[in-house]
Amino acid sequence: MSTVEGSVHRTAQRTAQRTEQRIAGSDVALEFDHVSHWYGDVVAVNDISCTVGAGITGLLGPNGAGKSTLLQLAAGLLTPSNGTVRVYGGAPTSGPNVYRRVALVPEREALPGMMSARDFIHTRAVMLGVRDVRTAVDRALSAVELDTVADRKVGGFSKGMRQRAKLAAALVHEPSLVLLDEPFNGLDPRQRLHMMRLLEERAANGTAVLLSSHILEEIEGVASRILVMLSGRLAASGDYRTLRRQMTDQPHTVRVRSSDDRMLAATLMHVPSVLSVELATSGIVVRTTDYAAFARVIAPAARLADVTLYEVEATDESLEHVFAYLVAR
Amino acid sequence: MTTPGSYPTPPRGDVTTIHDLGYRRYEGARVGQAGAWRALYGQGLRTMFGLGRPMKAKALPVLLALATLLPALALLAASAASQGGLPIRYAIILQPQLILFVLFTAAQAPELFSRDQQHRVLPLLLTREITRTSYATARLAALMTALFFVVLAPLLLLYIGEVGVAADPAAVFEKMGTRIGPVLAQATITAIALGSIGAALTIWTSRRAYATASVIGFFLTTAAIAVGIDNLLGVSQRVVELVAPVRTLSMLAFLLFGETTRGMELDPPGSIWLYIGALLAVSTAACAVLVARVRRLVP
Amino acid sequence: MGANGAGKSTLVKVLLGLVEPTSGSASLMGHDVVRDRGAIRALVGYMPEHDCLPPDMSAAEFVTWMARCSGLPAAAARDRSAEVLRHVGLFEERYRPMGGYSTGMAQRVKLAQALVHDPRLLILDEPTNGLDPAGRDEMLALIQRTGSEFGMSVLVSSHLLGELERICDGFVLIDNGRLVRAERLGALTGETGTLVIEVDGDATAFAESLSAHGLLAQHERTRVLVQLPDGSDDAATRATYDAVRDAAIRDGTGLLRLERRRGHLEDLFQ
Repeated sequence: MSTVEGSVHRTAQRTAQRTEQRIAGSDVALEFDHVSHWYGDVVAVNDISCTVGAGITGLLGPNGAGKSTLLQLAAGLLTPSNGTVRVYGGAPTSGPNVYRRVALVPEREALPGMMSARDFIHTRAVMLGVRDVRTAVDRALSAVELDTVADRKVGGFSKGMRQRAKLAAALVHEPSLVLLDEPFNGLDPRQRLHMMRLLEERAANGTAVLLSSHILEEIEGVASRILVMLSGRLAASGDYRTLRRQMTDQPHTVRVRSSDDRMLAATLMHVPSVLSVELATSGIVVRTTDYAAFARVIAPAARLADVTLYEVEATDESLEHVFAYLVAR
Repeated sequence: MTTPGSYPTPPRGDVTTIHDLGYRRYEGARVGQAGAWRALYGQGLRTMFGLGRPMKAKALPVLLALATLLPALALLAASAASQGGLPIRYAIILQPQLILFVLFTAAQAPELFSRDQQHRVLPLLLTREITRTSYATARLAALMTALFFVVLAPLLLLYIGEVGVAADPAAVFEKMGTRIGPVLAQATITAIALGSIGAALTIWTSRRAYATASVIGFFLTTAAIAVGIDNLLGVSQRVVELVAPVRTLSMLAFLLFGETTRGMELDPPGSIWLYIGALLAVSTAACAVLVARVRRLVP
Repeated sequence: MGANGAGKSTLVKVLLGLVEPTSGSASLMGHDVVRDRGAIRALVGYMPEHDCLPPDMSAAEFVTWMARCSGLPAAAARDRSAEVLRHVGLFEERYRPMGGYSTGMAQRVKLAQALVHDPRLLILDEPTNGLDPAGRDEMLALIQRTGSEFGMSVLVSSHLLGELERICDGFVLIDNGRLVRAERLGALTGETGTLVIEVDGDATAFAESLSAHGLLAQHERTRVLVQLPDGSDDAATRATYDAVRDAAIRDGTGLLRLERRRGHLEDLFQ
């Protein structure tokens, strides 16, 4: 390292050591407490209260719902117009002790084209006071599979490579809260799967990951919890299947195929929670107010009717359907 | 007044139908590459004068075009005041106006050659009835047509004015009838030269600012070189005139309209065909560059 | 489908005639892409991935111009343009300059200009790029209609496998400039011989219960997988299904999902 770099690094390390003793007491990675933020007349974030802990949380919403703003508030790049944002109990802008534990991968290009990937990640590591810079950089580069091209200028990278470089730079200091804004943008399926696995590994080790997307199928496989934002407000939070069950005003639709559909249909009509049974080209479509109850009753009903069950599938349980219902409310 | 429970019925013979608004195939005529070329040419020509676009796009070309008319009007007014005594000299008027024609080219050529690259419309055009060559020619034709009218306007104004302000219009018209030839020739050759050079320069970049600068830079530099070598010993005046296209066009005007300056009397210019030949040679080279570049463009 | 840099866009460019192949040949609807370029132009519509709309033109103006560039006479171009813009769902907005359009509107215009000259083959590159879930749904529905109702062949390039599974009948997978697979979707996503069961309760216990009754069962996270007997022995297959049903009744477990495992496009990328 150069002398300037060296002195920056030493200062950063000293601060790190000193403030490690002063780390705030809360274990909750990220907490929003009645947070609102507006740009002039536009209310980007409207009275949001929620927490984000270890594991992968998906932040969903249409374009313009306020997801990017929320992530920037979490990272401390913006101060909320109203309410409090707490990262491990303290404000996200409270200083290096917080910066060290948080990382943001922004949506827009934020890479200096003239630097090589290695230099860029190295610089970040130095500024964040990482202990063993070289090892950390190497580890970050190999985690995102950029080690073979690490010394090429970032300006010449493809979109997928740039995304990976941004991710490596964000992970180099082993943050415990990772914020990602549309990280899968422009990645092909293999690159996306790879990045998802990387995040899943970190999440399994206790890292809190909050990632935003407007493409539901990207989130569906990877997020255990979702936060849905609509026009700046938090429309729902939690596990999306549980969310679906909670939407009691929306009957569930289940498709069933059996060896004698009409017989089964007749039997199901006796079940109190069944609203309607429709004969379709192949199988029957059942609408029920209580999905869990239906799940328990379908097998006994089949035996009663003396039919073999071939297929049982809820057709509106997917994240897409949950999302559509939330938007329509 | 209808009684409750009844329903107004349509007149007998009225047919009730639901019209099919579904997607329909297009079975009509297709005019192929010729029609496509015309569409590109027409859209290009309209862009040259900012037609169909907001005021901002119209401002510059219209201002420039008007600016070229002012000297002509001034001269006509002066000539009228002197009752046709003050001679109307086309080439003298044209000389400073050439700068304005260059500015028009610099401002508008990028609209035809850089904008499509900037907005990445080329893949949409080249997958239609437009080959790379026809794209180049259609755009070039639009630029040349626009320039033709821009150059023609002041000259034509002078021509008409000359007839109008004369004491005896009929006699003047008799004498002057032949002037329309040079007017058209000057306009045509200027349009060809400036158009092809402008096209060849602006096709290289998608940034309109760079394109404009390159056109101005080219004409300024050549003019500066001409001035620079003007008084060098051993350098023929012909070379000075041919090295800068603006100068060549100016000399051509003098020769076409049969006018001279003091300098030309001291050092007579070459044959008119020398200047025409030089200009056409440069234009041909520029066109070749244009077509080659368009062929190589990666959309 | 294919990884970034696998050669998808180059292949598309060759088909569209924007780039000449170094070797080999290709034909669209019987016409060679290099020698018979003229015949192909009117038959192909292209919707690029990148932004390609001049911001100061209106959609109506732009699509009409595109129609004329495809060889439609001026009046017919205007009519077709209006029709097609209606089909893609652009109404009063079509008269405003496109610079102010949202992504959804811009994508619709891109599709409209690809359709305006009534092509037989549509090539769409990442058609749902930048669209939110609702816009995505609408675009996919529109694309499905062009394939079925409008009677065109459609080639869609995309990274979003879920969408492709929804609307496509076949797929082509490219990697490193080479063809990996090209076949009907059904061949891949057809049913396999494994039964997938999701229960409202303890998956492990249910799997054990099934194994205890002679079924080949294992559990994978929250799901239980049961091997169906080989071949076309219907009786044995029915017996397996019935055993599952009866086990659920015996254990009082809720059956959330019961279906044969299908392949997914995603499997090609694992």
